[in-house]
Amino acid sequence: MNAKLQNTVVEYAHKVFDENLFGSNVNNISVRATENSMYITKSGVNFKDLNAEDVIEVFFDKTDRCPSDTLKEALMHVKLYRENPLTGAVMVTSPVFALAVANKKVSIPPVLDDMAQIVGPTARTAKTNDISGIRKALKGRTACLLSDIGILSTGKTLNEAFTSCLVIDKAAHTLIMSQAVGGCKPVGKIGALLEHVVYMKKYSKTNQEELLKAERE
Amino acid sequence: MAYTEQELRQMVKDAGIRMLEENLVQGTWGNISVRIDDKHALVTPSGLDYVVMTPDDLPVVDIETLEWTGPRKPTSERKIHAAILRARPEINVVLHSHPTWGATFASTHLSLPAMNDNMKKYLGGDVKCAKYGLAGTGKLTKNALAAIEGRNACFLANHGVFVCGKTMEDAFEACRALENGCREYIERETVKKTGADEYSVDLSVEYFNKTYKK
Repeated sequence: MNAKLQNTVVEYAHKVFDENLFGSNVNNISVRATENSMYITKSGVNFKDLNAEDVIEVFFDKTDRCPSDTLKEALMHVKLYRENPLTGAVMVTSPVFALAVANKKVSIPPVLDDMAQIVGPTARTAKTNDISGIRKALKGRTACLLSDIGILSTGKTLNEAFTSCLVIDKAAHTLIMSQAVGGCKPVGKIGALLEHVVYMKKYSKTNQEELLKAERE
Repeated sequence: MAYTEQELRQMVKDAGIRMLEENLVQGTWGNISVRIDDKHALVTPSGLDYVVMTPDDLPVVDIETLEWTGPRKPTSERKIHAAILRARPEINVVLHSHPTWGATFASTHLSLPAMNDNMKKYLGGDVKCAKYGLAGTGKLTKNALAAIEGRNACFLANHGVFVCGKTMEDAFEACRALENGCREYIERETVKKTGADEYSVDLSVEYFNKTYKK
C-alpha cells in the first residue's frame, strides 16, 4: 500500500467537493500507483466525507478482486491507464454546468482560452460506457464531457486532471450564463489549437514535474 | 509604497495564495506585479503554481526594457503589466486573473456598464473589453492598454480580467467589484429575458437549453 498516494487522492476528493465539482451522479478519482495498478475512490461515497479507507488499490490484471460496487467505474479507469502510459490520474465528476452541457450533447467551443490551453480546442461530449467514443472525444485533449454524468478528465498528475475539470466547468458556466447577454464569441479554431500546443509544449512541463514529485514523494 | 523588496516579495506570494483561495485563478493561471520603484517591478514567474512558488522565485522586471533578473522567467503577460505600470505612475499593483463571472463576461466581448458604487469607486466606471490576442503578444498588450485607459480594469476577450490599484488591497477590491458587477449584470439580463420574478441558476440552465444552438 502507498499511504502517501491514498492521502493525496483524499486531498483531491476534498478539493473537488470544495470547488462544487462533486455532483449527484458518478464521481470517482484515481491515480496510477505502478505500471499495472491504481488507487481509486469507492463509488457512491460522498467526497466531503471520503477518507483513506475509501481509496482502494486495483490491479489492472486482477480487476475481479475489485469490489462489485466500484467495478464498472474502475474498468473504465483501467482502460484509460492501459491506453496511455503517460496518464497518471483520472477524474470523473458531475458538476452542475458541465452536466447541463453534457446532457444537451453538445461540445463546448473555445469560449475561454484557459480551456483551450489546458484541455484542448474544444471539450467534446461522449456517451458514457462507450470507450471507443470516449477515446475519440479525448483525442488531442486532456478531458471530455460524458453525457448524463459530467466530466472525464485525465492528466499526468492529479493536479492536472483537477485543473482540467475546473476549467471545463468554468467554460460550461460561461457558455450557459452568457446566453442571456447575447452568447459567447469563441476563439477561432486555429487560434484555439495554437493556444493548446503552446501551453502543452511551453508552460505545463515545469510545473507538472514539480507537482508530480509533491504528489508522490 | 514604503515596503522593502523582501516585504513586497512576501506580499506577492500571499496575494497568489489569496487569488487561489478566492477562486480568481486556477493552477498556474493569472499573475501579479508590484512596483518596486519607477523603473522596476516584481512579477510572478511563468508556469509556476502559487502554492509551490516562494518569495525568492520572483524575478525583477525592468518596466522600460522588459529585461529581467532572478532565478525564474517572468510571466509572458509581463508586457501588459509593464505597460500599465509605465503608463500609470500612480498604480503600484496589477493583477491578472480568470474569475468565473469576469471570464464569462470576457467571452462576450461586451463592455460592462457601472453596476454599483464599488465599480465606480474602485474601477472608475464602466469596463471595456480588449480585443482578442494570443497571450504574450504585442497585439494583446496594445489592445489591453487601450481598453484600460482612464479606468482600473479591463476584460481580455476570451481570457480574463486585468485590474490595477494603488495598493494590493485596492486591487483586490477592484477584482471583487468587477466580479460582482459581471454577476449582477448577467443575472439581471437573465431575469429580463425569461420574464421570471427572480433569478436562479436553474433559470439560466433552462434558458440555455431553450436557446443555445451549436
